[in-house]
Amino acid sequence: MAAGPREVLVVDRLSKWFGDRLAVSNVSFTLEAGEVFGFLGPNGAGKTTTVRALATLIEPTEGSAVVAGLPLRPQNAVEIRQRISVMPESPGLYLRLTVEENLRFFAGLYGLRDPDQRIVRALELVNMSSRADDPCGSLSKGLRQRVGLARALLNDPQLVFLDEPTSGLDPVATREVHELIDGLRRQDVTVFLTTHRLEEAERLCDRVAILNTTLRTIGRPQDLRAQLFTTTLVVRVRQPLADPSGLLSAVPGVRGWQNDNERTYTLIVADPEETAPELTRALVSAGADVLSIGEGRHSLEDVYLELVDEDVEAAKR
Amino acid sequence: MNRVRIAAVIAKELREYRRNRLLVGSMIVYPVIFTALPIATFFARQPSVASANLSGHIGLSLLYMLLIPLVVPATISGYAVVGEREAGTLEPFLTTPVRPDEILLGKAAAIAMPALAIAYAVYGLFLLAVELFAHAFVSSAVFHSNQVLAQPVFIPLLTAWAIWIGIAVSTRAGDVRVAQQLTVLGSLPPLALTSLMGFGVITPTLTLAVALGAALLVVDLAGWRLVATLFSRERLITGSAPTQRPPRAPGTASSTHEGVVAAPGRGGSPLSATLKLIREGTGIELRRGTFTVYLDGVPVGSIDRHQTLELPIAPGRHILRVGKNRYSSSDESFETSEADVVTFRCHGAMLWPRYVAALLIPSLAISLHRE
Repeated sequence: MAAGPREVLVVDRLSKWFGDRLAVSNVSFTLEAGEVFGFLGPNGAGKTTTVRALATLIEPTEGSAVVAGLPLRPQNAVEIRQRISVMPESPGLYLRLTVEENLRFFAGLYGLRDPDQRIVRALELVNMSSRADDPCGSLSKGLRQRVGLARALLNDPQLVFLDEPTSGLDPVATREVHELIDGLRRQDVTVFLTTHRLEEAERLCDRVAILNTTLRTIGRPQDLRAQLFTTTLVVRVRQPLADPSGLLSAVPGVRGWQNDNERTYTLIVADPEETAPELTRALVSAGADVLSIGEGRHSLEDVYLELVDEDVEAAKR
Repeated sequence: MNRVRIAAVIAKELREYRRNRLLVGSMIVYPVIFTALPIATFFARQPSVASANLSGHIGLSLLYMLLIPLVVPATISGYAVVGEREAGTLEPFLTTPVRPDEILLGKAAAIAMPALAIAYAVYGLFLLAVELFAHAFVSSAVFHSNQVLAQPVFIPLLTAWAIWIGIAVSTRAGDVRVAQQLTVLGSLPPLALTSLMGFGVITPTLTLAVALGAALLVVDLAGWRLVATLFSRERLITGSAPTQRPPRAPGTASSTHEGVVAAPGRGGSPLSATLKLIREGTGIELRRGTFTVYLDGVPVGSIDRHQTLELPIAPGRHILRVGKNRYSSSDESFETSEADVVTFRCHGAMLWPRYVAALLIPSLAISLHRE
């Protein structure tokens, strides 16, 4: 298996067993340089196992991968780890050491020739230069997360694995981490983001994959919504329509409709932009007081819940 | 091996020791005790003491000195790996390009530096005190004994032994306290031999000292390689060794979202009974990782902490066992009728004496009992 010129990560039919428990089954996907890729799934879905396998921490039972241009094999493990970085959910800092000492230790482990410059640059990236001499034990959780991110950027990695980077952070700290991830994208660093926070994935990721031991789906958030959900228009009127069936079914492009409550109607349409003006005219002609007409919107959360609920139902059967 | 990476590990470890007051305290307390006793003994000696009696005192005093290179590194080395795992620093550490032998050498060197410095300093102080303050008769006897020359040779050999034992235990143990206790226990065998010499049970001769020193040297050199083979990233992170090939598909358990494990492929018949196995997550479980569940000797699923496994089983008599590698529970026999639900609870050994005993009797490693 070979990777294309822009491909930073190519995963092919990767599986991992722990004893006789299947943690990850037959997972395949590809990441390109500069992409922010969201890896979603419920607890125990195999997200962390996948990251650990790709980071050479655990051995895949089956399948193959090319990580940062190198086949995922034991003999390439050291070189792969040199080209990537991983920030686990808990940043795992040495709390008795200062921020600078933590980074210096990791700079040594990466064998960096210019550790001072790298440390200064990494701290600037995460706005932590003024706290370089503070013991990590004295930092808040958000600041520790920032130090963890600085550590992950020390070796100029081609691919950064971020495992739940905003877990347990307050909204301000979360926004700061989001801005840092946006910054990485601008620097053409590929980010592999595992998260539970669907709004985070929707906001940050170019593509997302939903894992539940097997890969349930992969694609751009808007494409996943389109795949799973029909396009709809939602109409709100002041008074219930007298003959909704006759009125709505007669509008060109409307494939079906349902009355959500007395004054709200959801219409299944092929093309909302084509149908909305026609619908408005038809409603006004019929004497309806239209309060609003808008495109029905499904979030990534709807996509996620749809797929995960399918799995739960399948498990019950 | 990369010297920069080894140096980074050493520097980090030494910085951490310096800032850990408890560790520094324990490094100081033991040597003070082991020095104060022999010095007090010697100052009290008078020229009238029989020479055989004095020789016994010298042996005993120098034996105290040999405890220092065993106990000081043992307090640190037991923490070396499992301590990082408990603090959550091990996984980021292992995601870097550092190799197992570099980690081990770095950690061992960082432990050896203060341990050797303390052991030699204490020994030097002891000899100085004897020279300056003890009676000339006692001083002469100490400086002319065989042990006084053997001591500087045995200090690094015993230090290395304690370090490798400690790191080996630390790579496999699930808990810092257990690791430190086992490390101290594991450090004692060479001391037993030197004790026999100190008390005159074995006559210390030059040949015996050389043979013992050579044996320790071989063990110390082999220790590094042996411990490196125990050092598996996967085992350290997940608690279990890599699975080389997938087991048979039928009857394989899979985890569902609620933490209840279902067994696809076995099906649920209305005429079947149900076996319910609960893995308790309370307390400190010393035997960790995923347990395999055997029904009538056949693996039927697996169970992690805080999980519940429910299996449809045929009515009748069955034998249940839970295992992990060579360790297991005892076999529990039970009988079910149609539509019965039989519930068992299991957990890994939670007390270290049981954990240690399970090294000899593997069926003590996991507790399994019917509810």
